Amino acid sequence: MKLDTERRGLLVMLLPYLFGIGALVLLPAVFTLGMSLYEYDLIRPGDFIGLANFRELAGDEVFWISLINSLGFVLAAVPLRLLGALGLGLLLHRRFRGVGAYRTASYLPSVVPDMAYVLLWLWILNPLYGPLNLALDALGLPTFGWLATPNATRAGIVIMSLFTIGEGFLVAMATRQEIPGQLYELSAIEGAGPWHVFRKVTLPLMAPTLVLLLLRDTIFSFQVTFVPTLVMTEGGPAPYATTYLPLFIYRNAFEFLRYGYAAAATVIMFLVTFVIVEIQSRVIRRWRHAFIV
Amino acid sequence: MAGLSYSGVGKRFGDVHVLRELDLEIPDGSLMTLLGPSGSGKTTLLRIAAGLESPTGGRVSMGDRDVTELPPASRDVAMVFQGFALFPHMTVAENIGFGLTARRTPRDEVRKRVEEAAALAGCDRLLDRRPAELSGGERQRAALARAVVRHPAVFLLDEPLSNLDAPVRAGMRAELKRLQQRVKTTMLYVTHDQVEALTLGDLVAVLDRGEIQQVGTPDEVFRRPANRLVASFVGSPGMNVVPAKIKAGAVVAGPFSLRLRGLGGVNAKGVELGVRPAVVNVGPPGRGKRATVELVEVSGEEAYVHVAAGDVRLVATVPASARPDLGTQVGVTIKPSDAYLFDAESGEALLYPA
Repeated sequence: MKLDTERRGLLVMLLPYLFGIGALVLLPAVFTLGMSLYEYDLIRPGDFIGLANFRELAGDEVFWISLINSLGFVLAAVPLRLLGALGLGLLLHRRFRGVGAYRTASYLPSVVPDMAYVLLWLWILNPLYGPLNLALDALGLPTFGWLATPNATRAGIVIMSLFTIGEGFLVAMATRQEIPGQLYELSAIEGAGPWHVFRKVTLPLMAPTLVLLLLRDTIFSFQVTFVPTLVMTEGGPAPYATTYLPLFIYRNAFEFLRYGYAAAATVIMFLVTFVIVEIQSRVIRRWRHAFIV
Repeated sequence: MAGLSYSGVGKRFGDVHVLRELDLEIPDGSLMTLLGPSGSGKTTLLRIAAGLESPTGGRVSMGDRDVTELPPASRDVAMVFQGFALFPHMTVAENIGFGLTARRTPRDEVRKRVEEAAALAGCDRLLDRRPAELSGGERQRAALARAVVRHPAVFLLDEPLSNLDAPVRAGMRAELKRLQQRVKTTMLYVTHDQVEALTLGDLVAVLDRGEIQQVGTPDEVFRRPANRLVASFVGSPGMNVVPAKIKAGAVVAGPFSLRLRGLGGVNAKGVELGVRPAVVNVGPPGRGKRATVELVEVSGEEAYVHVAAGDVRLVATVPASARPDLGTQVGVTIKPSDAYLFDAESGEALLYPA
């Protein structure tokens, strides 16, 4: 009897969430999956064409460029973002004078609206008068053709993404703060050096959280390139240096009105994300005995 | 192997004196318990020896080495923390061997010494388990094994038994004592439990408000407390200490008038009378001074009887089977030869029982 009431209570509390996830995630996902099998331009009724969209994708050079660009971005950005979040978390978990200001500064870029953030970087990355090149030049370092040459532009988009790690930083910091100080005092008495302590104590005890951040950030990174590439680079330098999957999908759907084709690319993007996350978690599970309690 | 000594060690946080320039000497190979109420500074004193806290003044030395400025790792000490501080992601063996591995000891030797230490602490069958799979007592053994494995010069233990259930605690207490006797390493043991302090220590140091009140053998601290504070803190229940006056060659407290030996030599403005609960005699009314039973606490075979004789309130320990009923009248006697006398102002002990 009591259990039933409890269950009913849980169900009531879950309902809004279930409704939201159903209406905003599951339903559109099913719809997208269905649409990927149609030729649909929003005006005429769609034609069922089976897997023709997927076959076309396989032969579409731009799609392959986008996919490889996306994989490259994930490969470069995810480890760096994770390192950044971990580094900031370890630097700022202690209390010291001015730590609040540092923490705020670390989190702040993550709350700037996407559009404003991108416009800001459009200025920072300007090869001629942007502060980044001016600073590099002042330090006697080589300057780069941000937004002008393919590799520098791709690097610029990775660099932009390295400052929006506020959430990862907060989670890493909170995790570090949860580790009892006694373990570090004991390490000091037992004569463990900083590197030994980091490798044998801090890292393993933070590992479960870092794994979570890694998986989450991988998923996130497949999508995060959209606003910068749409607003700042328009997928260029020409022809497709910074055309990533989200922009490829957007163009096909909303510029070329090929909804079915865009849906098929979305399905592929989902599968690629899924496979990578699955591989990561398998690798981690295999090594888990070395880390996780 | 080395003794541990503090000389003039003080610790201040801003205006708060946690420790006031104190001297303390733990002879080589002996076990000293550091007894004090919470907030007395005993853990700070221990942490200063470990190097986790630096003193505001004074020197700490081990044997003939001055370690005041040395980092914890160079002091050759091992510490057992109140919460054991075992690494949750390591097995018991890895936990025990942590310090050896950190100091790049060859793997074979680590294994050999871990096994030795585990056998000594009685956790040799738990080596492959993780802390989450251990009971409180087993964790304690693992923490002890880790402390002994490096053969440190000094052991520092911070209330190591306070997280254990009472029955386990008594057993571990005895084992700890045996362990210390076998390794014969200097040990400083912090506790707020006076039973633990008395049963375990070769020497007991009583600390209060950052000052050493007394250092002595458990017997000395119990029988000849240096002051009122030690007298009421040591013993269970603590000593009765009541306001008294010296009148016509006798100590007078309420209805009690005791002719103490040596009273003539006492020169104090105000005095207090002290008497252990075990020697407060409670009998039928008519024998001794008339008193009312205000509270009876039964603890197994003993009962603590709180009585009021006039305005003098005393606790008496009696066999539970012979306890009087609440609210009844009893007769209370105190023998002059059982009484202590304290200076009311300074708290110093003036006279001890013969």
